[in-house]
Amino acid sequence: MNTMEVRFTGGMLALNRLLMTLQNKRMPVAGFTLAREAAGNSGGMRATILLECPPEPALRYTALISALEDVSEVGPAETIEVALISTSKEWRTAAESAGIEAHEDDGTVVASGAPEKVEDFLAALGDGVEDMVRLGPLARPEGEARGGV
Amino acid sequence: MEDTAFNIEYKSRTGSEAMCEALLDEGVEYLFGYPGGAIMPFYDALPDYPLKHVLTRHEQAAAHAADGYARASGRVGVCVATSGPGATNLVTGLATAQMDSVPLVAITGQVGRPAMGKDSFQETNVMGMTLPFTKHSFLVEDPDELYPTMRRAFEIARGGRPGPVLVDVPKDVQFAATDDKGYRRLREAPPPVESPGLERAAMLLRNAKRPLILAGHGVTLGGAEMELRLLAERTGIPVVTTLLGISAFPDDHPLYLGWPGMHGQASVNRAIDRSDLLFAVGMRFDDRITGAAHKFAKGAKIIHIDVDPSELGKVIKPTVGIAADAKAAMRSILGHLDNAPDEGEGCEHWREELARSQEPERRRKESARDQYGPIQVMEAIKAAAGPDLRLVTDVGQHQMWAAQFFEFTKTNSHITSGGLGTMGFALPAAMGVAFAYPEDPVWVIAGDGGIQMNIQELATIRDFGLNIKVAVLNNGYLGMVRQWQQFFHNRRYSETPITGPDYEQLTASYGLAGRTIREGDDVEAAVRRAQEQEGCTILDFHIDPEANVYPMIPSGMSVNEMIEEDGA
Repeated sequence: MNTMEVRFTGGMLALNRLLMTLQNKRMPVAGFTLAREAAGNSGGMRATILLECPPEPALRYTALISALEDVSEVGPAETIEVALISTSKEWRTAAESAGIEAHEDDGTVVASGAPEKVEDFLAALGDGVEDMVRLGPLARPEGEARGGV
Repeated sequence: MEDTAFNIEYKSRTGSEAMCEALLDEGVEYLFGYPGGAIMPFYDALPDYPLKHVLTRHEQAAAHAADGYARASGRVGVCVATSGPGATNLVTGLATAQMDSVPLVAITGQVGRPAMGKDSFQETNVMGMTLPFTKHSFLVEDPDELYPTMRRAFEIARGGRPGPVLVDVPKDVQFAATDDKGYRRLREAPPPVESPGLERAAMLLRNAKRPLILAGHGVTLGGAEMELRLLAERTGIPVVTTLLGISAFPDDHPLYLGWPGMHGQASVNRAIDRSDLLFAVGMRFDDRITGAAHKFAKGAKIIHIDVDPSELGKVIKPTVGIAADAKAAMRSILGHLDNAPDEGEGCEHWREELARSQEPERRRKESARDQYGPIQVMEAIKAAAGPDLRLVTDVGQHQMWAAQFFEFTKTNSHITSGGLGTMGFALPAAMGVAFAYPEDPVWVIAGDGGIQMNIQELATIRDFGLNIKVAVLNNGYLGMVRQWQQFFHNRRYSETPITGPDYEQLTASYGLAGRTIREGDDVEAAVRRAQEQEGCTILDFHIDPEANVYPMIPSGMSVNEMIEEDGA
């Protein structure tokens, strides 16, 4: 699996063009997550795309995406996943052993970490998860898109 | 203001005026279009500017004409249409340009901003509709953004790998007063050519025993014909081209072999199969070239140069992949070749072997010259029109015959729809070519199917007195489809027999000349007379209904499954 972070401006039209390109070029998209850029970044968006293919075609797809006029930056990225969980089960031990960050906010458990670690955490909770919203995978915000084309 | 292209006082102007000024500032001479409700403000401003508008009879033809103009002139072609059906009619033309990397700016009117999204009369989401086959598209909702957006559209259309750009402008934005003060120049940096791959490519070229240069449309688009010739002559490596690369290298050059692919010469397909090095420049390994990609040029190392990095490895994994402009890359490789002594044995034996392999095809062509049919027609056109001829072909059997048997000695003299294979392309595209080069003879070769798809453009041709000659190779069938039905569907000619008009009467009704030619008529005299006659003439050649294009590599197969003519 190769992860690519795409930063772009242009709103819905640009998003539409990005999605159309993914579909039109038959890119092997295994995951797609959209997020807003921080305020002050001219209303830009960030898409984190998981490509299920070897690194070489992933690089070619990255080059293709980089040619889109709306795209300001594109490159491989490290990812994070966030899970918002409603549970009555004890979750702190599971979080610690999975190696993720977790805290409780007004009855909702907010867990975050590398996607595979979040997966381990959720597996440990098992049936104890009463409801859940998963966000991500998303590129880590502190990391610039690296190795862009 | 160093970063502005213009340093003049701007008076207040409307959106439409800003559009016209942007076109002028881009050096646009011709627009091909068709007015309608949502583009009326633009058409109202147009007569106040020294821009020449060509009123076509269908928006699709406007797009093809702009495409033909761009292909011939090397400049950005411009087409204009209104919203709704006007915009949807442009779609085939935009897709044609996108597939063949032709720089085009398409301007469409859109319903006014308050009416957008309300299923208003003649409203359509042309931006959404054209996303897959435009290089970029703009919906300009701020009048102040119109001028810079128009300029940017031209930059994008011609920059890097060229392509079509759509600018959709709501009607009220065309009417609105603008307050923009100038244009920030946004030149794209040329693609990098300092790559270690270039030196490696030079090394591979020096040491190859059975090398071939495979040149594509990128050579013409990048103006790299001279560099291609220098490279071929410096190395002695034979040259083959893609369908769109034809006329990037002179056909009568001793190093030119022909073109490969589904209907390319058998000897060229076999040469690629036997080569040990393929220097592919400005091309994209289309499936019509490769057939079964995993069997294509199995024994060859591949050097692939293309301005679009996403083409490298898309179909064929290159030994050396270089993302660069064809001209700059070949110049650099020539430099590397000059800086090192030639140590290899050269490829003289290879050239001799290839020359021998082409003998049967040469003999067949010679013997066909005396028989009534496509080859005789092409020979007559070439003889009558002379070396300055620009040939525009439609799509189908005649397109392949023209590519196989015509001799293109003039640079960029072969214009055709290769990637999308758009029937109906040739007649309107030829109008664009004729506007770009009014002094050069322009001939269209079309089938009796394709010519009817944009036949209405005879009115445009007449209005502008364009000196376009048309040869219809009329076999009463959609010939290429019929050929496939013959080979792969047991001669079940389902819906391929096709009728058409009497071209003599049709042309007469348009005030043009036409003539029907059958076996036994003097082809040479008919073609010569058409060439000498002022204005457009259609020659309707009735040919063998079941004439086939040979050779043929069935779709998805390899050179080993090639179907050749009986007795070949």
